[in-house]
Amino acid sequence: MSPNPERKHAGRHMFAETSDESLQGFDLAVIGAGIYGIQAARTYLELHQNDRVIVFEASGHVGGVWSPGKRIHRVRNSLTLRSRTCLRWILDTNAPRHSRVLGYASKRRPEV
Amino acid sequence: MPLKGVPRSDTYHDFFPARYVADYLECYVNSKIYAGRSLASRIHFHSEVETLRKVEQGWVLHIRGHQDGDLGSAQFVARKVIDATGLTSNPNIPSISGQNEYRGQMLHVKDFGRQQDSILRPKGPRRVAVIGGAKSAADVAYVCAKAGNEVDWIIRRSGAGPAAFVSAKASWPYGNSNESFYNRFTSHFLVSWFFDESKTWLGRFLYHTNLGRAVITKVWKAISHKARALANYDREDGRQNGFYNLKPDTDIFWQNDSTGVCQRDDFFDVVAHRVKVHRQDITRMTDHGLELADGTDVSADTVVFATGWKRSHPRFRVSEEEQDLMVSLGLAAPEPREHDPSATHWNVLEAAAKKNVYARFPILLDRPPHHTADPSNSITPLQLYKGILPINDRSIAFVGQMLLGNNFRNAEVQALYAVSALDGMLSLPSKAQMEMTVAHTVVWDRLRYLSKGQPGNWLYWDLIPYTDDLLNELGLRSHRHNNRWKDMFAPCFARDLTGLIEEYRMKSRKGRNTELRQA
Repeated sequence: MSPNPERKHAGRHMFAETSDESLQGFDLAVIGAGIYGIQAARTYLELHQNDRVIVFEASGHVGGVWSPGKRIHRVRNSLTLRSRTCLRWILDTNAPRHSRVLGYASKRRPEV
Repeated sequence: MPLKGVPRSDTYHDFFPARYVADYLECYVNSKIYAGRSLASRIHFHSEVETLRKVEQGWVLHIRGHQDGDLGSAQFVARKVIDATGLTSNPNIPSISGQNEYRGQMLHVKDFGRQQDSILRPKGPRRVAVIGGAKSAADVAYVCAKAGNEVDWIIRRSGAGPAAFVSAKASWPYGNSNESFYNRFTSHFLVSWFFDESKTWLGRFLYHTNLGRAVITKVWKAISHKARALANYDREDGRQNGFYNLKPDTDIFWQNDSTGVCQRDDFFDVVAHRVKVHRQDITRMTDHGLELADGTDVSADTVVFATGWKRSHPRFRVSEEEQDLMVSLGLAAPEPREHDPSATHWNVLEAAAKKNVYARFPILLDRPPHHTADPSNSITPLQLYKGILPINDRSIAFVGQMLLGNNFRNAEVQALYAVSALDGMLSLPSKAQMEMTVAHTVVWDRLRYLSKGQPGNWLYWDLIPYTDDLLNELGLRSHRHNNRWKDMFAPCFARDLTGLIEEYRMKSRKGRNTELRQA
């Protein structure tokens, strides 16, 4: 189930996968892997660790308008960053401490 | 997870280049692991959701895979759906007569990033025509001019006009324009439907007294004046290039032009000296460029359409059945429907709402003359409760359908709101009350933001009042400061949202326990 680390996930799509996921039902389907889709899937999983969640993305990247190829050189975004005092966390403000997240990973819960 | 260091040299008043965000998101989805599986591994790429069909168990999603060709299709069933396709999926390219005759390169601004190397580093100087009036057009015009291209920037006469640009700098205590806008003190001046003015003495003064209303008007006049002074539209050295054509049609208060932040010190200089600005409608495209209404012939090797995005929802095909589904969910139908039985019902609600909006915000009676002729104006407005939930369906939610000046905070808050509603944990008002809320929001949006507000989803300035309203409805508090002064004046940062999910989890657990005891 774990993706090939060499390929990362950029070229992955379900048609290349051998799993029969499509035959089973999901608890939640998220359409789009821009910042809104990522945040929706993440929030749902924070609250329902063991539910079956699937995200569909039409392009080959996360990030929607922020993704590679959609950015313009030398164009800045509408976010600001202020050393020490400001947006040090963009998305991950709600997560339990990082160590706890990694803790889940090391437990390797079986797939449900 | 903190954003990896952005070198100071790469920032301008703390604004930083977009590539850092993309890298961050990539790391983010890989680092999030639930039940032994990363968030990244749950994302299926090159998988477009073609149609969405409601069934008894939830939803059937028809997926088509394509990556350099068709990869086939598949069907998935899901109990619940969160649609996060947002507003930037369907590029809008206006149809101009003669488009087929044009021999040069033509692209939408969404593809500019991918092709910019060939445009910006040409063998000889290239002639680029940029069409559009907002920030994306300004970015392209600036970048092309700076790279030594000949640039014509065309903003149609019949549109809402060019965007204003406010300074990225801010005065004490705020570090930049974002901070000075995104705090609860500034929220007092936004004339936002989502702001509760009765909560503070300042709010009661500003909205319940004539003097207060005069203060709001004055503050916004000053902001517009400052932006005009910064741009100096009538500067001598820009006259020949038509720099004065960049004057916005309406004041910044109305936000009828997607006001942007000026993110470079030399932006106005570069545009004034090197970009020819036209405020003209385009009559047709010729084999070598564009012909404008005043007869000007613009030659261009490349035409960039910085003309925004189509509103029609990409997920639903336009069959009669799907149109019915879209309308019943509260999404804008792609075409106005002739015999929409719900139209009369909504007209009645909106008429009642209009009276209340004017009573609450008399300032909206003094709307300036503005352009209204967009055909999209006749499309039904977005009728989602709080911009997220269909009134009649708890198995699907829409995030990212509201247009805000800054999306990261909203993504987090809307996600929690949507998940809570899908879980049935959110106590929602009756259907009639929800409809009334939707009608008020739409009517307010249309009066507040003129032509931009017509679709009912333009909340340009309202990020803080809107997200506060959603969190308030969820009964959450941890994003607010205990100190009243700090709560009012401190800029709202992403880190203030730390702990919201934890607070929500505790609250819902407590709620469940009480229910059990009562049972």
